[in-house]
Amino acid sequence: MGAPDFEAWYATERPALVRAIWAIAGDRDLAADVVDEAFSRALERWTRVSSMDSPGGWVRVVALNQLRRTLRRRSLEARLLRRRHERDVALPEPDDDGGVWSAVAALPLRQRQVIALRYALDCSEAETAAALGISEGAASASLAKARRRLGEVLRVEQEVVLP
Amino acid sequence: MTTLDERLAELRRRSVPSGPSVDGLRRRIRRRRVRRLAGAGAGAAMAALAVVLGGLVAGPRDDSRTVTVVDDPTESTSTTMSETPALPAEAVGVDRDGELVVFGVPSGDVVRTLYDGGLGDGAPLIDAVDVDSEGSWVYFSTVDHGGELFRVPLEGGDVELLGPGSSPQVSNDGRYLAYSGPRQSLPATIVVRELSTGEERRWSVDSDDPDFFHYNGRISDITWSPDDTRLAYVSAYEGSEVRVLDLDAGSLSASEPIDRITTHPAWLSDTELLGVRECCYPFERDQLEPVVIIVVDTATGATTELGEVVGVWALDVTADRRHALVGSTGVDVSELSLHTVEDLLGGGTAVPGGYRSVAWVP
Repeated sequence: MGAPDFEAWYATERPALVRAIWAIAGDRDLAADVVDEAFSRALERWTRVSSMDSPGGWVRVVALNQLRRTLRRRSLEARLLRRRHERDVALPEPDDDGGVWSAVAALPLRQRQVIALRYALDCSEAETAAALGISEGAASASLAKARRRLGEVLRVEQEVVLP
Repeated sequence: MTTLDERLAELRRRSVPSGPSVDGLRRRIRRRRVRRLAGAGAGAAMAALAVVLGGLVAGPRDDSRTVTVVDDPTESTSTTMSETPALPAEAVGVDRDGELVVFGVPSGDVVRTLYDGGLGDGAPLIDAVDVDSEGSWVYFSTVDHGGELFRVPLEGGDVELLGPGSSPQVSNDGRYLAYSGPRQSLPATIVVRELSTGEERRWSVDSDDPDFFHYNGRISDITWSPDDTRLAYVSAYEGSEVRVLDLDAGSLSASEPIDRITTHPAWLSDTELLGVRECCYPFERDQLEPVVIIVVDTATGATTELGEVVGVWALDVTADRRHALVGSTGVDVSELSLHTVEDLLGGGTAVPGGYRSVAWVP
Protein backbone atom coordinates (compact mmCIF):
# COMPACT_ATOMS: atom_id res chain seq x y z
CA MET A 1 0.00 0.00 0.00
CA GLY A 2 1.38 3.38 -0.87
CA ALA A 3 0.59 7.00 -0.33
CA PRO A 4 -2.27 7.17 -2.90
CA ASP A 5 -4.21 4.57 -0.93
CA PHE A 6 -3.66 6.51 2.23
CA GLU A 7 -4.79 9.76 0.66
CA ALA A 8 -8.08 8.29 -0.53
CA TRP A 9 -8.72 6.58 2.79
CA TYR A 10 -7.87 9.73 4.69
CA ALA A 11 -10.21 11.86 2.59
CA THR A 12 -13.04 9.40 3.11
CA GLU A 13 -12.64 8.70 6.79
CA ARG A 14 -11.64 12.05 8.22
CA PRO A 15 -14.92 14.05 8.16
CA ALA A 16 -16.95 11.48 10.09
CA LEU A 17 -14.21 10.98 12.65
CA VAL A 18 -13.93 14.74 13.20
CA ARG A 19 -17.69 14.91 13.76
CA ALA A 20 -17.56 12.05 16.25
CA ILE A 21 -14.68 13.50 18.24
CA TRP A 22 -16.31 16.92 18.02
CA ALA A 23 -19.48 15.50 19.56
CA ILE A 24 -17.46 13.99 22.39
CA ALA A 25 -15.15 16.95 23.03
CA GLY A 26 -17.59 19.75 22.31
CA ASP A 27 -14.81 21.66 20.57
CA ARG A 28 -14.46 21.61 16.80
CA ASP A 29 -10.88 22.82 16.60
CA LEU A 30 -9.75 20.42 19.26
CA ALA A 31 -11.51 17.59 17.43
CA ALA A 32 -9.85 18.46 14.14
CA ASP A 33 -6.47 18.60 15.81
CA VAL A 34 -6.92 15.30 17.58
CA VAL A 35 -8.10 13.60 14.41
CA ASP A 36 -5.27 15.03 12.34
CA GLU A 37 -2.84 13.73 14.93
CA ALA A 38 -4.43 10.30 14.68
CA PHE A 39 -4.21 10.28 10.88
CA SER A 40 -0.61 11.44 10.98
CA ARG A 41 0.14 8.45 13.17
CA ALA A 42 -1.65 6.24 10.69
CA LEU A 43 0.44 7.70 7.87
CA GLU A 44 3.59 7.09 9.89
CA ARG A 45 2.64 3.40 10.15
CA TRP A 46 0.68 3.09 6.93
CA THR A 47 2.27 -0.14 5.75
CA ARG A 48 1.14 -1.85 8.92
CA VAL A 49 -2.14 -0.01 9.41
CA SER A 50 -3.27 -0.54 5.82
CA SER A 51 -2.87 -4.28 6.20
CA MET A 52 -5.17 -4.41 9.23
CA ASP A 53 -8.70 -5.72 9.04
CA SER A 54 -10.04 -2.33 10.05
CA PRO A 55 -7.74 0.64 9.55
CA GLY A 56 -10.72 2.80 10.45
CA GLY A 57 -11.06 1.04 13.78
CA TRP A 58 -7.39 1.60 14.47
CA VAL A 59 -7.46 5.32 13.77
CA ARG A 60 -10.68 5.62 15.78
CA VAL A 61 -9.00 4.18 18.86
CA VAL A 62 -5.92 6.36 18.36
CA ALA A 63 -8.12 9.46 18.12
CA LEU A 64 -10.07 8.55 21.25
CA ASN A 65 -6.86 7.94 23.17
CA GLN A 66 -5.38 11.18 21.89
CA LEU A 67 -8.49 13.06 22.96
CA ARG A 68 -8.36 11.54 26.41
CA ARG A 69 -4.70 12.48 26.82
CA THR A 70 -5.26 16.00 25.55
CA LEU A 71 -8.21 16.65 27.84
CA ARG A 72 -6.33 15.19 30.77
CA ARG A 73 -3.35 17.41 30.14
CA ARG A 74 -5.48 20.49 29.69
CA SER A 75 -7.23 19.74 32.92
CA LEU A 76 -3.95 19.11 34.75
CA GLU A 77 -2.39 22.24 33.35
CA ALA A 78 -5.42 24.30 34.33
CA ARG A 79 -5.22 22.98 37.87
CA LEU A 80 -1.51 23.68 38.10
CA LEU A 81 -1.95 27.18 36.77
CA ARG A 82 -4.71 27.90 39.21
CA ARG A 83 -2.57 26.59 42.03
CA ARG A 84 0.47 28.58 41.06
CA HIS A 85 -0.89 31.78 39.73
CA GLU A 86 -4.51 31.75 40.71
CA ARG A 87 -5.37 32.20 37.12
CA ASP A 88 -7.80 30.12 35.23
CA VAL A 89 -7.32 28.58 31.86
CA ALA A 90 -10.35 28.27 29.69
CA LEU A 91 -11.26 24.73 28.85
CA PRO A 92 -13.30 24.15 25.72
CA GLU A 93 -16.92 25.08 26.10
CA PRO A 94 -19.48 22.85 24.49
CA ASP A 95 -21.06 24.18 21.34
CA ASP A 96 -24.44 25.61 22.11
CA ASP A 97 -26.68 25.37 19.10
CA GLY A 98 -29.79 24.64 21.12
CA GLY A 99 -30.12 21.32 19.38
CA VAL A 100 -28.81 17.84 19.24
CA TRP A 101 -25.15 18.81 19.48
CA SER A 102 -25.58 20.68 22.73
CA ALA A 103 -27.81 17.92 24.06
CA VAL A 104 -25.10 15.37 23.31
CA ALA A 105 -22.48 17.64 24.85
CA ALA A 106 -24.42 17.66 28.10
CA LEU A 107 -24.30 13.87 28.43
CA PRO A 108 -21.75 12.11 30.63
CA LEU A 109 -18.53 11.21 28.80
CA ARG A 110 -19.26 7.53 28.24
CA GLN A 111 -22.69 8.29 26.85
CA ARG A 112 -21.25 10.97 24.59
CA GLN A 113 -18.75 8.48 23.31
CA VAL A 114 -21.27 5.81 22.43
CA ILE A 115 -23.64 8.30 20.81
CA ALA A 116 -20.82 9.84 18.79
CA LEU A 117 -19.50 6.50 17.62
CA ARG A 118 -22.93 5.12 16.85
CA TYR A 119 -24.43 8.11 15.09
CA ALA A 120 -21.56 10.23 13.80
CA LEU A 121 -19.40 7.32 12.74
CA ASP A 122 -22.12 4.75 12.10
CA CYS A 123 -20.34 2.17 14.21
CA SER A 124 -22.09 -1.04 15.21
CA GLU A 125 -22.34 -1.84 18.89
CA ALA A 126 -19.49 -4.28 18.49
CA GLU A 127 -17.32 -1.62 16.86
CA THR A 128 -18.31 0.91 19.50
CA ALA A 129 -17.41 -1.51 22.27
CA ALA A 130 -14.09 -2.33 20.62
CA ALA A 131 -13.19 1.33 20.16
CA LEU A 132 -13.90 2.11 23.80
CA GLY A 133 -12.42 -1.09 25.17
CA ILE A 134 -15.65 -2.11 26.88
CA SER A 135 -18.03 -5.01 26.50
CA GLU A 136 -20.87 -4.94 24.02
CA GLY A 137 -23.28 -5.14 26.93
CA ALA A 138 -21.79 -2.05 28.53
CA ALA A 139 -21.88 -0.21 25.22
CA SER A 140 -25.49 -1.19 24.71
CA ALA A 141 -26.47 -0.09 28.21
CA SER A 142 -24.73 3.26 27.81
CA LEU A 143 -26.38 3.77 24.46
CA ALA A 144 -29.82 3.05 25.91
CA LYS A 145 -29.25 5.50 28.76
CA ALA A 146 -28.00 8.14 26.40
CA ARG A 147 -30.95 7.73 24.06
CA ARG A 148 -33.37 7.91 26.94
CA ARG A 149 -31.79 11.11 28.18
CA LEU A 150 -31.64 12.66 24.72
CA GLY A 151 -35.26 11.74 24.12
CA GLU A 152 -36.22 13.64 27.25
CA VAL A 153 -34.11 16.67 26.43
CA LEU A 154 -35.02 16.87 22.76
CA ARG A 155 -38.66 15.86 23.38
CA VAL A 156 -38.75 13.48 20.45
CA GLU A 157 -40.13 10.00 19.94
CA GLN A 158 -38.02 7.12 21.11
CA GLU A 159 -37.30 4.34 18.70
CA VAL A 160 -35.81 0.94 19.10
CA VAL A 161 -32.10 1.05 18.35
CA LEU A 162 -31.29 -0.99 15.31
CA PRO A 163 -28.48 -3.45 15.84
CA MET B 1 -43.15 14.22 14.99
CA THR B 2 -39.41 14.06 14.56
CA THR B 3 -37.87 10.88 15.83
CA LEU B 4 -34.75 10.63 17.91
CA ASP B 5 -32.89 8.85 15.13
CA GLU B 6 -33.74 11.64 12.75
CA ARG B 7 -32.39 14.18 15.19
CA LEU B 8 -29.27 12.14 15.84
CA ALA B 9 -28.68 11.90 12.12
CA GLU B 10 -27.73 15.57 12.39
CA LEU B 11 -24.49 14.36 13.91
CA ARG B 12 -23.54 13.07 10.45
CA ARG B 13 -24.38 16.26 8.61
CA ARG B 14 -22.46 19.02 10.31
CA SER B 15 -19.74 20.48 8.12
CA VAL B 16 -16.20 20.04 9.36
CA PRO B 17 -13.09 22.08 8.61
CA SER B 18 -10.93 20.68 5.87
CA GLY B 19 -7.90 18.83 7.08
CA PRO B 20 -4.24 19.21 6.19
CA SER B 21 -2.88 17.66 3.03
CA VAL B 22 -0.85 14.48 3.24
CA ASP B 23 2.25 16.65 3.08
CA GLY B 24 0.82 18.60 6.01
CA LEU B 25 0.47 15.36 7.94
CA ARG B 26 4.09 14.55 7.12
CA ARG B 27 5.17 17.90 8.53
CA ARG B 28 3.14 17.12 11.60
CA ILE B 29 4.95 13.81 11.99
CA ARG B 30 8.27 15.55 11.74
CA ARG B 31 7.31 18.18 14.30
CA ARG B 32 6.16 15.48 16.68
CA ARG B 33 9.54 13.79 16.36
CA VAL B 34 11.26 17.07 17.01
CA ARG B 35 9.12 17.64 20.09
CA ARG B 36 9.87 14.16 21.29
CA LEU B 37 13.55 14.97 21.10
CA ALA B 38 13.04 18.07 23.16
CA GLY B 39 10.77 16.53 25.69
CA ALA B 40 10.29 12.87 26.20
CA GLY B 41 13.94 12.02 25.90
CA ALA B 42 14.83 14.67 28.31
CA GLY B 43 16.71 12.48 30.60
CA ALA B 44 19.69 11.13 28.97
CA ALA B 45 19.84 12.06 25.39
CA MET B 46 18.79 15.63 25.06
CA ALA B 47 20.66 18.80 25.43
CA ALA B 48 17.37 20.27 24.50
CA LEU B 49 16.00 23.27 26.19
CA ALA B 50 12.49 22.94 26.65
CA VAL B 51 10.00 25.45 28.18
CA VAL B 52 8.71 27.28 30.75
CA LEU B 53 8.30 27.22 34.12
CA GLY B 54 7.84 29.21 36.98
CA GLY B 55 5.66 31.74 35.48
CA LEU B 56 5.26 30.82 31.93
CA VAL B 57 3.26 27.95 30.72
CA ALA B 58 3.00 26.81 27.20
CA GLY B 59 -0.47 25.88 26.22
CA PRO B 60 -0.50 26.27 22.54
CA ARG B 61 0.56 24.10 19.71
CA ASP B 62 1.12 26.68 17.04
CA ASP B 63 1.94 30.27 16.43
CA SER B 64 -1.68 31.32 16.19
CA ARG B 65 -2.24 30.84 19.88
CA THR B 66 -0.64 32.63 22.73
CA VAL B 67 1.65 31.73 25.55
CA THR B 68 0.43 32.74 28.95
CA VAL B 69 2.88 35.08 30.58
CA VAL B 70 2.13 35.77 34.18
CA ASP B 71 4.47 38.65 34.71
CA ASP B 72 4.65 41.56 32.34
CA PRO B 73 7.54 40.59 30.05
CA THR B 74 8.20 44.13 28.96
CA GLU B 75 8.57 45.31 32.50
CA SER B 76 10.64 42.31 33.46
CA THR B 77 12.97 42.74 30.51
CA SER B 78 13.56 46.43 30.93
CA THR B 79 14.52 45.97 34.55
CA THR B 80 16.85 43.15 33.73
CA MET B 81 18.54 44.84 30.82
CA SER B 82 19.43 47.97 32.71
CA GLU B 83 21.20 45.93 35.35
CA THR B 84 23.05 43.62 33.00
CA PRO B 85 23.97 45.22 29.71
CA ALA B 86 26.06 42.27 28.59
CA LEU B 87 23.04 40.25 27.47
CA PRO B 88 23.83 38.67 24.09
CA ALA B 89 21.42 39.66 21.38
CA GLU B 90 21.33 36.35 19.56
CA ALA B 91 21.23 32.64 20.09
CA VAL B 92 21.33 29.57 17.92
CA GLY B 93 18.71 26.87 18.16
CA VAL B 94 16.50 24.43 16.36
CA ASP B 95 13.12 25.73 15.30
CA ARG B 96 9.84 23.87 15.15
CA ASP B 97 10.60 22.57 11.69
CA GLY B 98 13.93 21.16 12.76
CA GLU B 99 16.00 23.85 11.06
CA LEU B 100 19.14 25.24 12.69
CA VAL B 101 18.78 29.01 12.86
CA VAL B 102 20.23 32.11 14.47
CA PHE B 103 17.47 34.01 16.23
CA GLY B 104 17.13 37.25 18.14
CA VAL B 105 16.73 37.32 21.91
CA PRO B 106 14.14 37.97 23.17
CA SER B 107 12.32 38.70 19.89
CA GLY B 108 12.63 35.15 18.59
CA ASP B 109 12.96 36.54 15.06
CA VAL B 110 14.98 34.38 12.73
CA VAL B 111 18.19 36.17 11.73
CA ARG B 112 19.38 33.48 9.32
CA THR B 113 19.07 29.79 8.67
CA LEU B 114 22.28 27.84 9.07
CA TYR B 115 21.13 24.38 8.17
CA ASP B 116 17.93 23.40 6.47
CA GLY B 117 17.73 20.06 8.16
CA GLY B 118 14.05 20.13 8.76
CA LEU B 119 11.39 19.08 6.38
CA GLY B 120 13.06 17.15 3.65
CA ASP B 121 12.49 13.43 3.68
CA GLY B 122 15.24 11.75 5.60
CA ALA B 123 16.66 14.99 6.93
CA PRO B 124 18.49 14.43 10.21
CA LEU B 125 17.12 15.60 13.55
CA ILE B 126 19.42 17.90 15.49
CA ASP B 127 19.64 17.08 19.19
CA ALA B 128 22.43 19.33 20.52
CA VAL B 129 23.95 22.68 19.59
CA ASP B 130 26.84 24.81 20.79
CA VAL B 131 28.62 27.94 19.62
CA ASP B 132 32.35 28.43 20.17
CA SER B 133 33.53 31.26 22.39
CA GLU B 134 34.79 33.26 19.41
CA GLY B 135 31.39 33.17 17.79
CA SER B 136 32.92 31.62 14.68
CA TRP B 137 31.49 28.13 14.50
CA VAL B 138 28.28 26.40 15.44
CA TYR B 139 28.72 22.78 16.42
CA PHE B 140 25.78 20.43 16.42
CA SER B 141 24.92 16.77 16.43
CA THR B 142 22.15 14.77 14.84
CA VAL B 143 20.57 11.55 15.97
CA ASP B 144 21.18 9.70 12.72
CA HIS B 145 23.54 6.74 12.56
CA GLY B 146 23.93 6.73 16.33
CA GLY B 147 24.91 10.39 16.35
CA GLU B 148 26.94 12.50 13.95
CA LEU B 149 28.84 15.71 14.62
CA PHE B 150 28.78 18.70 12.30
CA ARG B 151 29.86 22.30 12.30
CA VAL B 152 28.82 25.29 10.25
CA PRO B 153 30.12 28.89 10.27
CA LEU B 154 27.99 31.15 12.44
CA GLU B 155 27.76 33.57 9.54
CA GLY B 156 26.46 30.79 7.32
CA GLY B 157 28.14 28.52 4.80
CA ASP B 158 28.85 24.90 4.12
CA VAL B 159 28.07 22.32 6.76
CA GLU B 160 31.04 20.15 7.61
CA LEU B 161 30.68 16.57 8.86
CA LEU B 162 33.16 15.98 11.68
CA GLY B 163 32.41 12.31 12.34
CA PRO B 164 30.46 10.13 14.74
CA GLY B 165 29.49 11.57 18.13
CA SER B 166 26.94 13.70 19.88
CA SER B 167 26.45 16.45 22.46
CA PRO B 168 29.28 18.73 21.26
CA GLN B 169 30.45 21.46 23.63
CA VAL B 170 33.33 23.85 23.04
CA SER B 171 35.45 24.78 26.06
CA ASN B 172 35.19 28.31 27.39
CA ASP B 173 38.69 29.11 26.14
CA GLY B 174 37.71 27.89 22.68
CA ARG B 175 40.56 25.37 22.46
CA TYR B 176 38.76 22.08 22.91
CA LEU B 177 35.64 20.34 21.68
CA ALA B 178 34.10 17.79 24.04
CA TYR B 179 31.58 15.30 22.77
CA SER B 180 30.27 11.86 23.53
CA GLY B 181 31.01 8.80 21.48
CA PRO B 182 28.36 7.30 19.22
CA ARG B 183 25.30 6.07 21.02
CA GLN B 184 24.88 2.36 21.43
CA SER B 185 28.59 1.81 21.17
CA LEU B 186 30.29 0.46 24.23
CA PRO B 187 32.01 1.48 26.30
CA ALA B 188 30.46 4.88 26.80
CA THR B 189 33.07 7.47 25.96
CA ILE B 190 33.66 11.17 26.31
CA VAL B 191 36.12 12.63 23.83
CA VAL B 192 37.96 15.94 24.10
CA ARG B 193 39.50 17.11 20.84
CA GLU B 194 42.01 19.92 20.65
CA LEU B 195 40.61 21.98 17.82
CA SER B 196 43.93 23.34 16.55
CA THR B 197 45.66 19.95 16.25
CA GLY B 198 42.85 17.40 16.11
CA GLU B 199 44.51 15.50 18.93
CA GLU B 200 42.02 13.64 21.11
CA ARG B 201 41.78 12.36 24.67
CA ARG B 202 39.15 9.79 25.61
CA TRP B 203 37.51 8.80 28.84
CA SER B 204 35.62 5.51 28.95
CA VAL B 205 34.15 3.27 31.58
CA ASP B 206 36.64 0.77 33.00
CA SER B 207 36.05 -2.67 31.56
CA ASP B 208 36.10 -4.18 35.06
CA ASP B 209 33.53 -1.70 36.33
CA PRO B 210 30.64 -3.74 37.80
CA ASP B 211 28.25 -1.24 36.27
CA PHE B 212 29.88 -1.49 32.90
CA PHE B 213 26.91 -2.96 31.14
CA HIS B 214 24.60 -0.33 32.48
CA TYR B 215 26.46 2.29 30.53
CA ASN B 216 24.61 1.93 27.29
CA GLY B 217 26.44 4.67 25.50
CA ARG B 218 23.90 7.37 26.19
CA ILE B 219 26.01 10.20 27.45
CA SER B 220 24.59 13.63 26.77
CA ASP B 221 24.32 17.21 27.98
CA ILE B 222 28.08 17.63 28.26
CA THR B 223 29.01 21.02 29.62
CA TRP B 224 32.36 22.56 30.59
CA SER B 225 32.98 24.08 33.99
CA PRO B 226 33.83 27.79 33.78
CA ASP B 227 37.52 27.03 34.42
CA ASP B 228 37.54 24.25 31.80
CA THR B 229 38.90 21.67 34.23
CA ARG B 230 35.79 19.51 34.52
CA LEU B 231 32.89 18.29 32.47
CA ALA B 232 29.40 17.76 33.77
CA TYR B 233 27.37 15.29 31.77
CA VAL B 234 24.32 13.10 31.95
CA SER B 235 24.71 9.36 31.83
CA ALA B 236 21.99 6.81 31.34
CA TYR B 237 22.94 4.68 34.31
CA GLU B 238 19.86 3.87 36.41
CA GLY B 239 17.85 6.47 34.60
CA SER B 240 19.50 9.83 34.18
CA GLU B 241 22.28 11.06 36.39
CA VAL B 242 24.41 14.14 36.31
CA ARG B 243 28.06 13.25 36.84
CA VAL B 244 31.16 15.38 36.91
CA LEU B 245 34.35 14.26 35.20
CA ASP B 246 37.61 15.79 36.34
CA LEU B 247 39.84 15.90 33.28
CA ASP B 248 42.71 14.63 35.40
CA ALA B 249 40.80 11.42 36.03
CA GLY B 250 41.67 8.32 34.12
CA SER B 251 38.21 7.06 33.28
CA LEU B 252 34.53 7.81 33.47
CA SER B 253 34.21 5.36 36.33
CA ALA B 254 35.87 7.97 38.54
CA SER B 255 33.04 10.42 38.03
CA GLU B 256 30.45 10.12 40.74
CA PRO B 257 26.79 10.94 40.26
CA ILE B 258 25.95 14.19 42.02
CA ASP B 259 22.28 13.42 42.29
CA ARG B 260 19.99 10.65 41.22
CA ILE B 261 17.54 11.15 38.34
CA THR B 262 18.84 14.59 37.56
CA THR B 263 19.30 16.12 34.14
CA HIS B 264 20.31 19.28 32.30
CA PRO B 265 23.43 20.37 34.18
CA ALA B 266 24.53 23.98 33.87
CA TRP B 267 27.48 25.52 35.70
CA LEU B 268 26.78 28.64 37.73
CA SER B 269 30.37 28.88 38.97
CA ASP B 270 33.43 26.64 39.19
CA THR B 271 31.82 24.78 42.06
CA GLU B 272 28.09 25.32 41.66
CA LEU B 273 26.15 23.16 39.28
CA LEU B 274 22.52 23.66 38.47
CA GLY B 275 20.44 20.59 37.73
CA VAL B 276 16.89 19.41 37.26
CA ARG B 277 15.83 16.70 39.70
CA GLU B 278 12.99 14.61 38.37
CA CYS B 279 10.54 12.52 40.29
CA CYS B 280 11.20 9.40 38.34
CA TYR B 281 12.76 8.02 35.23
CA PRO B 282 11.91 9.81 31.99
CA PHE B 283 9.81 6.98 30.62
CA GLU B 284 7.72 6.96 33.81
CA ARG B 285 6.95 10.61 34.20
CA ASP B 286 4.37 12.83 32.65
CA GLN B 287 5.73 15.97 31.03
CA LEU B 288 3.67 18.06 33.40
CA GLU B 289 4.95 16.31 36.48
CA PRO B 290 6.73 18.92 38.59
CA VAL B 291 10.53 18.82 38.74
CA VAL B 292 12.82 20.39 41.32
CA ILE B 293 15.57 22.79 40.37
CA ILE B 294 18.63 22.15 42.47
CA VAL B 295 22.07 23.64 42.92
CA VAL B 296 24.83 21.25 43.86
CA ASP B 297 28.05 22.33 45.47
CA THR B 298 30.42 19.98 43.67
CA ALA B 299 33.10 20.49 46.29
CA THR B 300 30.99 19.36 49.22
CA GLY B 301 28.13 17.51 47.57
CA ALA B 302 25.62 19.73 49.36
CA THR B 303 22.40 20.19 47.46
CA THR B 304 20.08 23.18 47.65
CA GLU B 305 16.57 23.09 46.26
CA LEU B 306 15.63 26.31 44.48
CA GLY B 307 12.04 25.36 43.87
CA GLU B 308 9.58 23.29 41.94
CA VAL B 309 8.55 23.89 38.37
CA VAL B 310 6.41 22.08 35.85
CA GLY B 311 7.47 20.28 32.73
CA VAL B 312 10.69 19.10 31.29
CA TRP B 313 13.17 21.79 32.00
CA ALA B 314 16.59 22.86 30.87
CA LEU B 315 18.64 25.97 30.40
CA ASP B 316 21.65 27.53 28.78
CA VAL B 317 23.42 30.31 30.66
CA THR B 318 25.51 33.11 29.24
CA ALA B 319 29.27 33.04 29.65
CA ASP B 320 29.03 35.65 32.40
CA ARG B 321 26.47 33.46 34.22
CA ARG B 322 24.03 36.34 34.35
CA HIS B 323 21.25 35.27 32.02
CA ALA B 324 19.69 32.01 31.03
CA LEU B 325 17.50 30.82 28.25
CA VAL B 326 15.09 28.48 29.92
CA GLY B 327 13.09 26.00 28.01
CA SER B 328 10.48 23.47 28.84
CA THR B 329 8.07 21.26 27.08
CA GLY B 330 4.59 22.18 28.13
CA VAL B 331 1.53 20.42 26.88
CA ASP B 332 2.51 19.87 23.31
CA VAL B 333 5.23 22.24 22.42
CA SER B 334 8.65 23.53 23.36
CA GLU B 335 8.86 27.16 24.31
CA LEU B 336 11.69 29.33 25.47
CA SER B 337 11.98 32.17 27.94
CA LEU B 338 14.70 34.57 28.99
CA HIS B 339 15.58 34.85 32.66
CA THR B 340 18.16 36.37 34.91
CA VAL B 341 20.03 33.70 36.81
CA GLU B 342 18.72 35.19 40.03
CA ASP B 343 15.18 34.72 38.84
CA LEU B 344 15.20 31.35 37.16
CA LEU B 345 11.87 30.41 38.64
CA GLY B 346 10.20 33.70 37.87
CA GLY B 347 8.14 34.66 34.90
CA GLY B 348 10.92 35.56 32.53
CA THR B 349 10.31 36.88 29.06
CA ALA B 350 8.85 34.66 26.41
CA VAL B 351 11.05 34.07 23.38
CA PRO B 352 8.67 33.10 20.59
CA GLY B 353 9.49 30.49 18.01
CA GLY B 354 9.44 27.22 19.87
CA TYR B 355 13.20 26.86 19.78
CA ARG B 356 15.00 24.02 21.49
CA SER B 357 18.61 22.89 21.82
CA VAL B 358 19.66 26.50 22.08
CA ALA B 359 23.06 28.05 22.66
CA TRP B 360 23.96 31.69 23.16
CA VAL B 361 25.96 33.53 20.54
CA PRO B 362 28.86 35.16 22.44
